[in-house]
Amino acid sequence: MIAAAVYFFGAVAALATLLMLFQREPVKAAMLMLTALLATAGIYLALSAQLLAALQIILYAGAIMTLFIVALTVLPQAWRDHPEKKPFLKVLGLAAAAIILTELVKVSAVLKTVLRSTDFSETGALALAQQLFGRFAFQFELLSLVILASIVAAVALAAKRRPA
Amino acid sequence: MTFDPVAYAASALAGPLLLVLAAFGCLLLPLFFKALRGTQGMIALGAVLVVLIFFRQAPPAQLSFFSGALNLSPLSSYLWAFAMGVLALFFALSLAKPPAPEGSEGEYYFLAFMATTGLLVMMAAGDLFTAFIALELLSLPVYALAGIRRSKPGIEAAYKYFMLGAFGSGMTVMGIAVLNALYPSLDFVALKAAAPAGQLALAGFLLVISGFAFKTALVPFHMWVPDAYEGAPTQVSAFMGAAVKAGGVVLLWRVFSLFDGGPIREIFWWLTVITAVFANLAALAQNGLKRLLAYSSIAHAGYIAVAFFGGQRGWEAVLYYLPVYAMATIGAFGVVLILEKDEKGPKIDDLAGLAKTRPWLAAAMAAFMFSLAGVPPLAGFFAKFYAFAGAVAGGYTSLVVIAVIMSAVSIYYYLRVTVVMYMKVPANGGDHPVEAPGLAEAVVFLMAAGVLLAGLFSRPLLALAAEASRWF
Repeated sequence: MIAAAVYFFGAVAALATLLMLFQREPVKAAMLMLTALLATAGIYLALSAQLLAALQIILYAGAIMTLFIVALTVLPQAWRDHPEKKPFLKVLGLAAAAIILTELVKVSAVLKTVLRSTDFSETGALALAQQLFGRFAFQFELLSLVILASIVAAVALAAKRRPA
Repeated sequence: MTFDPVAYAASALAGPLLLVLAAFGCLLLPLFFKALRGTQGMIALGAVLVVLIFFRQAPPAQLSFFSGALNLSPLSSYLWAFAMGVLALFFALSLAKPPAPEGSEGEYYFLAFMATTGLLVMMAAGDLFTAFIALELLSLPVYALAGIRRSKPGIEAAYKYFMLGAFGSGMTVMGIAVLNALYPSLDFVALKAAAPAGQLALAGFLLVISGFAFKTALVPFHMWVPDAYEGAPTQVSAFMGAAVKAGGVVLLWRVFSLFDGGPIREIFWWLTVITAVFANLAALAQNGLKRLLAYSSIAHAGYIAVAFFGGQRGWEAVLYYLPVYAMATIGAFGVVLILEKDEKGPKIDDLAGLAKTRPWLAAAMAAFMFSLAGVPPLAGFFAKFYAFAGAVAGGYTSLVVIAVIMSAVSIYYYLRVTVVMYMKVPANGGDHPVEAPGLAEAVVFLMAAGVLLAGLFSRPLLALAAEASRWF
């Protein structure tokens, strides 16, 4: 059952990534990348790594994808920015991809068994939460003030001035 | 009377909490109630005065809160009272001449409150990690305050301050990461008790110290200071000089006091010497009054660093030095605020004839200059005297000799301001503004009285500083 889920999410991630590579529209490419990221989170979840899955969704699928989309919205020239067709760059890219692929195959050949734990407490989420809301509660709250102050500072510096 | 730690903690922590509450009040209330628009300054100043009510007699012991993240003691009470005083004066100057453009007063006071909350936490922080977060809470709002007008010099100041400040923060984080890997706890007490530093720990401490030295503006980490002080609204420059520097000094002292000798002390020795020499020589060439005060602020960071070498007595001197320096700096920036016609502030030559047109203002400015130069009987003299005496007692005579020589050099440029005010004939008939905001003048004369009284009757303040310094 778990193996089936892993293979399913893995196939989705691989397919979405491949489609993304050949996609020329920036927004569609971003959406396909989002699919790949979410599918990766699914793999983590299937392997009982809840914390990693949550972080994957919050950080990559949430924060970083939002950054991409915002950048695409703010910069209209990105829509028309088609990559140049230079054979030299293509060869270079293919060579890099080949190297990474060989390394990945070599590494996964070593990992014969899938490491997984079914116990929630072993994945670190509980320990992290206990530290975050126990010992480091004060620092955690202080950081929320830092973020709030940064937002207000950014607005004060960058937002359009209201007419008096 | 029995001492109840919980009751004390509740009233002591009410101060910072009230600051946060007031910050939100200044930001949000005027959005909902039109009548409150433009009154944020009054709300802010009122809130600070209310916070001052919450100050209690310091506890006769050190109380730890939040797993050691926050330590309340007579030391923190002393520093918190100092910070609140600076904030009240900062708000008074901001009320006198609003620095923020129409419509951004809410953000202005919100950011000031946030910065002060960070400063309070930093002064009482029990470990390196908390201190760093508090430092960020102090720095980020001040970057924005420097550019709140969104004029060209303001944005330039904010940008330079932010880029170099972020660089400093990055170094501190890397240092903390290294130390975190090497030591079981980042608690200052635990760090002191831990085994002597190896090579990697040394690198970690150096990174942390570089980051903190950025905030304190020790040479060679001072590059942002002249531009930031010049381009920022004058009130914010005063806040940077008095409050941000004080925070950096407390942090540097905490790191410095972890070491009884060895390479870290040697590096501090060199930092101190370079700072004292470079800042005073560079100040000689300045024509703008705000830039002069900026270099003077760097030089004073150097004198405070000299006091570090005096051990316990030196720390006592630092605690006396901080309010004395803050009074002279806030007063001098107050005079700049009254006289300034554009953002960059008056040139030194613009002060010509001030003694004729505004004799009391000129006298106050002269008092600030003499106090900064360290001329008796003003408070600045005693601050420098105690700072240097501690270092001499600690056996660092050569360091003190260099500092005293550079201090003599500094008399030249401080005296120049006074000479221009009293003896130079103004080129343009001395068109100084006759009508000045009353609140700014009140702050200036209060500070002048403070500089004089803290010098003539230095015992009460010294006794407070001595009491506070024992709780380190």
